[in-house]
Amino acid sequence: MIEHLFPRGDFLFVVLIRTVLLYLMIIVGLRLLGKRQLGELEPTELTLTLIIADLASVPMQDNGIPLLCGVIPILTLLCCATILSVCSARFIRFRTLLCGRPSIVIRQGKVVEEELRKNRLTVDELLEELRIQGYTDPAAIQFAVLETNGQLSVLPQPWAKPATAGQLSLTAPPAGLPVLVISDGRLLHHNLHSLGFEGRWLQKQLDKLGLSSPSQVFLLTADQEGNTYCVPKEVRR
Amino acid sequence: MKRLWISLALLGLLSALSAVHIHALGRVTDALSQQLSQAQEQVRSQQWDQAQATTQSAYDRWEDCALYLHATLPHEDIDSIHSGYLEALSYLSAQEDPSECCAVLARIINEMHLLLDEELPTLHNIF
Repeated sequence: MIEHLFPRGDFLFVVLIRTVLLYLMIIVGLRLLGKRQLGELEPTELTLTLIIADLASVPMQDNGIPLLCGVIPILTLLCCATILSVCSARFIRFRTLLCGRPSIVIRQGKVVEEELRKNRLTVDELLEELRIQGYTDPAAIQFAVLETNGQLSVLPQPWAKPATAGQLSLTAPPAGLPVLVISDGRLLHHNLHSLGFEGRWLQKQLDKLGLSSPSQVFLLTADQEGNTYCVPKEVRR
Repeated sequence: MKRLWISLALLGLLSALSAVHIHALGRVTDALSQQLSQAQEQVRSQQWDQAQATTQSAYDRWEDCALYLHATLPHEDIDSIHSGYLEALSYLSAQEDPSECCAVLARIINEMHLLLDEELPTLHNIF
């Protein structure tokens, strides 16, 4: 039956179908892995992501390899990754074994050479990371921790920390979470209602800005306090 | 914990399906190898018509499993065996060269054994 639908000449059509199937498989796989960004992945997760992509690309390019040869290893890896992640969430020792421990590379303004050596991190790389985070002087840092995902967390010395409103005995107005209400001229009813506002409120806000309808707005966000941020659409000539 | 059990169950299912696949492939290749060995004997004793019928029957059986085989095994190996069958059938219809015909049948039998061998979880295959 299937052979009649796709006779041997339809090579490109087969490639297309196989590509779509494998792509869907990768999407499901990466979705199951979670929402973390590439830079935040643990070494094992990064390796897994790369292997999954590679496994899918082989049967995608070569029609002579059965689709199952791509699907089975991907499924197996996802199962193994899930088992490891559940185990590492439950057992601290296992997590340490799998992901390692965070390393303190600067303690009270002093660079800890031993930890740098252990993590094969050079002083130049450390200073570069500090500069990226806005610190030029290691003495201004109380702790710098190299996390298990390779990112550097920096805790400045108390005297180098920016002052907060609380420390200055100031009262800051409450800030709500801005929610997208109009995106490229389209009104997102669900978001508007989740804020507790109706269409009439929105129309009032648009009137204040000299706009007549959501189609004239490129971006509009609002928070629970009723504060809005609006970018009208550019008028094309 | 539910995710852990689902993953373990899925791994178990994949392992079970792989075992079933090896068993099914073993049955198919064993049966076909027997038929082809029988065809070889018939060729050696110059029973060309019987040998052709036996080989044709083996070929039909092979073709019946084509979708399953293509879905699970490298297409190159399947295509090579397919060509072998056609070659053997052409020798059998010509009824001229028994040694060449037997060699082609032997090659098909060997390729089918290799097909099964590659699927077995032996140390030889794993490493």
